[in-house]
Amino acid sequence: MEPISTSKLFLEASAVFTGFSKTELKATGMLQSYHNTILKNTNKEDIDYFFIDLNQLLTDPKQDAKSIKHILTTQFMPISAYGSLAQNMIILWYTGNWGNDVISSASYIQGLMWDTIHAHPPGAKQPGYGSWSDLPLSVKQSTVKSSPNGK
Amino acid sequence: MENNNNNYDVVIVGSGIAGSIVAKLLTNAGKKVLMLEAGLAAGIAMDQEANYKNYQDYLSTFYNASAKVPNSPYPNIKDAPSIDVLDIKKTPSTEGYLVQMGPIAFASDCTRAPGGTTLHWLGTTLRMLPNDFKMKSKYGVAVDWPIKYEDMNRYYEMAENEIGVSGNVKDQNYPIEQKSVFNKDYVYPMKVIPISYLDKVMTDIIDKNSKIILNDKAYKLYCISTPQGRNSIPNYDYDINGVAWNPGTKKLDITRNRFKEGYNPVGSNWDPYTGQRCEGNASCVPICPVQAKYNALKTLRKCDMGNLSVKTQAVASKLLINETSNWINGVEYKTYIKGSSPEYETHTAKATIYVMAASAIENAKLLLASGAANSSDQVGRNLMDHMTVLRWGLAKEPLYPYRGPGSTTNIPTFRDGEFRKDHAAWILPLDNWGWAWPTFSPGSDVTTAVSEGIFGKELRDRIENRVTRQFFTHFECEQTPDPNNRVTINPEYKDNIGNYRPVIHYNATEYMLKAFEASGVVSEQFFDQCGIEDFTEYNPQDPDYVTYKGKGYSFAGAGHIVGTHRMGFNKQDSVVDSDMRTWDHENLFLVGCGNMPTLGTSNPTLTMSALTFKAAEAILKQLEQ
Amino acid sequence: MENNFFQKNNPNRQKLIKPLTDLDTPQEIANSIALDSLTDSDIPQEIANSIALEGNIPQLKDLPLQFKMSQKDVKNYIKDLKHLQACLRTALQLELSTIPPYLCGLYTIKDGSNVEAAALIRSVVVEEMLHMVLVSNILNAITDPKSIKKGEKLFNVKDIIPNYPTFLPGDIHPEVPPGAPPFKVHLLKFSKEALEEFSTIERPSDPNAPITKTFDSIGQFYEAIRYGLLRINKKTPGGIFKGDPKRQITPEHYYGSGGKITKVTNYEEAEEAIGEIVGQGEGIDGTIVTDHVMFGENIEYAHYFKFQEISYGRMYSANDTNFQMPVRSVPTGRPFTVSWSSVYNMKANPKMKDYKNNPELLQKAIEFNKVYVTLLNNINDAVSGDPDLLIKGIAVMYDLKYKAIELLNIPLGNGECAGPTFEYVEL
Repeated sequence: MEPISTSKLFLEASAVFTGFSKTELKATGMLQSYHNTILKNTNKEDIDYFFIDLNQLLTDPKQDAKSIKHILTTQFMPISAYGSLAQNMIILWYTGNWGNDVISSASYIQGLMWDTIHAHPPGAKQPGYGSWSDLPLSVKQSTVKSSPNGK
Repeated sequence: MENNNNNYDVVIVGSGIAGSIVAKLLTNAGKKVLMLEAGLAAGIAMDQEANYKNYQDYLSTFYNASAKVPNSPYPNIKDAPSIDVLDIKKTPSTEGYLVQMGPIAFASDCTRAPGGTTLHWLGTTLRMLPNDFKMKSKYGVAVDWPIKYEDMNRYYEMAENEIGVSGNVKDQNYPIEQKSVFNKDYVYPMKVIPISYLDKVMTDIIDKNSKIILNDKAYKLYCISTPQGRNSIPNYDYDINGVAWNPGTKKLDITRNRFKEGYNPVGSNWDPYTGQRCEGNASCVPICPVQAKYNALKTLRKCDMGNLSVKTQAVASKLLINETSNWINGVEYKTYIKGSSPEYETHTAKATIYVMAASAIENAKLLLASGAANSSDQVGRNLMDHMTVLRWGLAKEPLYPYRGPGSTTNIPTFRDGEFRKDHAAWILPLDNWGWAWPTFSPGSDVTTAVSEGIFGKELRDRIENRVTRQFFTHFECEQTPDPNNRVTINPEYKDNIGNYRPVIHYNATEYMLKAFEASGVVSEQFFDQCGIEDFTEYNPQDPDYVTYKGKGYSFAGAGHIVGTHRMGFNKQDSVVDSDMRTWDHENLFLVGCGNMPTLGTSNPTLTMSALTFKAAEAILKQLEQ
Repeated sequence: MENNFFQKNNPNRQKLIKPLTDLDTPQEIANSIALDSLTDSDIPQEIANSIALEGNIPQLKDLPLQFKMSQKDVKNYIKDLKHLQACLRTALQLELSTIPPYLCGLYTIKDGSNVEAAALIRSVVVEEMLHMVLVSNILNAITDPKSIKKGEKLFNVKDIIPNYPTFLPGDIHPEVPPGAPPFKVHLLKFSKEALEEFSTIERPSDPNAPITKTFDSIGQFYEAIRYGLLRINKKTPGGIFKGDPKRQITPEHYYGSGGKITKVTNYEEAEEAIGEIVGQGEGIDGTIVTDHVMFGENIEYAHYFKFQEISYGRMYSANDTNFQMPVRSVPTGRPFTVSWSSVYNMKANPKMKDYKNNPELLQKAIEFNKVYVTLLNNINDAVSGDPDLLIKGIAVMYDLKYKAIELLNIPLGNGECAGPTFEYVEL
């Protein structure tokens, strides 16, 4: 398999499994590092089949969103599928860990779970004096957006 | 070998907050001080570049630690090991530094590094309450202190100045007879640290609900802001600018500004403009990246450096006692070379007065190893902690935890009252960091959801929905002194360079178990009335799982290691007098939490610091006799 | 010795500004007379020729390095109170216009590299924010509360945001090398060019520079404001300091750098506030303080010199004292590493319209700009009668950085990466 296409597929797969957009994932700056992490820690055969099968599923014109979700759930998410690659990949993006190991300072700091809960990794990306006393900025701004009184 | 000339007025063992306060006061009063510190030299770097680099190393170690426990940023040195909560196992256990004989495990840790455990303390700086000093005469439990609250007031003011406390005096309503425990018109150095969003939501709910029935008596839960040692907006009504030795009156004076200039927040140790305000890193324990939170190195920095020598990687191993006078003759210490090899050199440090400031467990261990100060047989006994029962649940609405300092509000309802005759008092902080402590959230929420096969947008929504509603509080129960809870030594257990490892015997008395039971009764009503769905679970496999009347409870340590060389009224009942001088050796002082006869419901650092000012005053007085 | 660095109040930081009376040097008067007859100041060559003809003025026999407004013009620049208020609004815009370029320099430094450079730029940014607040204090001090309509803000956020590349507001035109286009401020990644730009922004006036009709430095512009404040305050019965003291931002609201907020209720305090701004910016006439030692690690000094340090990869030391313009002395203190490669390769002057073909990226740019506008709104609210909002309002600065880094992590496909655009968006 071409390295470039694996990398593209890795981004695609990451977006599907994490629920974050490709741009959001790129914005973490972790794409390359995580791609290397899975290549290093997962059986090659599992990786190859994972991406081949996933690519086939996502490019199959007969599938719709519902059927894709079903197949992902039953064929990709189980711990027995592709050496648990889907589960490990999600945990990697959300926590910055592979198993119990922290990949790097950056992976800890870029864990998606912190954004998800409108917080920040403890000890990094601090939000400034008194910020904790209000709603998180990300919550406030989404309220502004949806509020009919907002400009 | 060191030259044996008695060049120093005082040798201090330990550079934590107690040692640093003594060093600062003594050197600024012109006394020559030698400080011995067991931790690595890098941690004490005074120049900007080296100091910054060392601290960044701590931070990066923290980022990369898989378990982000209190000691995770700091090096655990084989030749001077630290107690680590990761080593707490079912007893008996020899895992880690402590030898835990049980029947249950002592659950708290501390740090052996320059700056001591203030590197990872939370920073809560509540004073003890007046009745805490007279538990025996008031409630027939434990012992009285030889000092009253009223004697402590001025030392509390000194400690609050040194640490730089942010808080609102007017908020501090406690369940006590006195209207206020503060001097008239007193204010804290800085304004209150803003309370969290979570606090605001919960305070509203608690104010409307939370009438609690406990043992047929009604209590009202209420919330107050928590004073804490981290930088906030200076209070312009605050006029204290420091503490100075007055050779005329032989007392420490609180010095004041002539004009109200307000307090000047002390920034980080590498850059005075970093850390002038808390920036909300939400990692006070284990590490404040900007040092807006106080640490003892800020105090050490204010020493008169011309009068201070510091030896690092120097582990005190024995006090030498003059057999005729019973005075202390010197401190023997071992200087390790690498920290990991068994090579070391032995030296002796000599001075007029000796001050042990090596933490409650280390102080006791060293005294036992030296056969010192123990005519009362109290050395090592009465080991205490806040035995902490955790409670967690899900609120109906998002509280947006994991932001801000660890805790900014507490429920003081059960800090004092007649119930103390029956069971322990506790403080109930509202915690800002979700279920991180009890369940390792939010990482564990992710792995659980993923293992259930949830992924994509659904996963994102589930994590957002659940984790933002996490509510967590903990009952920090005041452990009373029990002579059987103790630090001992045993030649079978020594560390890498032949120093004793502390051997711990520890248990929960019925007085504590009753408090655990009461905490269950209270939290059930509290959660129910406030619409918190309870998710608390105590696992019999937890190392500190205890049962009482058919119900099980797990408790944790609070990191408040107290009571191993208590002060008292006479040489039969205690190790030190109210000046913290050992009854047995006129030139040996002990400082630190080990002196505290009882614990109260406040985190002990502030009270211990206040006592240290008192000790330093006595030391200076003795030196100038 | 090493403890000196940690002293809290540095006495040398005071008196950052020379008294106004010192400014009429005979040489400047001579320059001014020599050029008085000139009407078109926009043609440097012409001026140069005219100077060449005036061979009898010894100071000008060298090729001119800078052109600046004459002292007389500076003194009389401000016409009346309205004009003074307008100039202070321009000063606000001027201070604001410098923040995005400095932030781009700061944000594009990759984490862990260029530690000293990042710290120096960061301190400058914090002080530029302080300058905005100080200018607001002066403006509030001379604004009669009766003239403020209910709900009216001190400035208009939408109008104050510059469109990069931009001229410096306030008719300030620093000198550029011969043949180069007039100076504009660009949003650039951390680079030699960026440092050159930063130094140009903060470069002090050259006392020997010949005269034009525009300001040659931010310092000269503030000098005009100082003269204006003095003159108009004197000739207005009851003075002009009629502002509401409750609108003043006070010292406890600010932290994180060597600067100090001055509450402004009279001329002397206004003078002190400008001293803080100009002293921090460039020093006066290229000096930091008037008399003794200027540099060393324990001294806060002007932005221009901080940028010089980065350019040379060396701190100034206490021995470096020669700062008459043009500054020739090279810093000789502790060297530090400057890496031009550990940098995000940000596209220069990024715009939202550059991202229009990538809606997700555009969304990120909009999110950044929303935080930027929120920050400015917060500052505006704080200086428009709610001083307590400042400290929390400024906390948004942190989020601004994280949003910027997200953009910088996104490659554009041509070797460059996206970047923050600092444009106005509706919230």
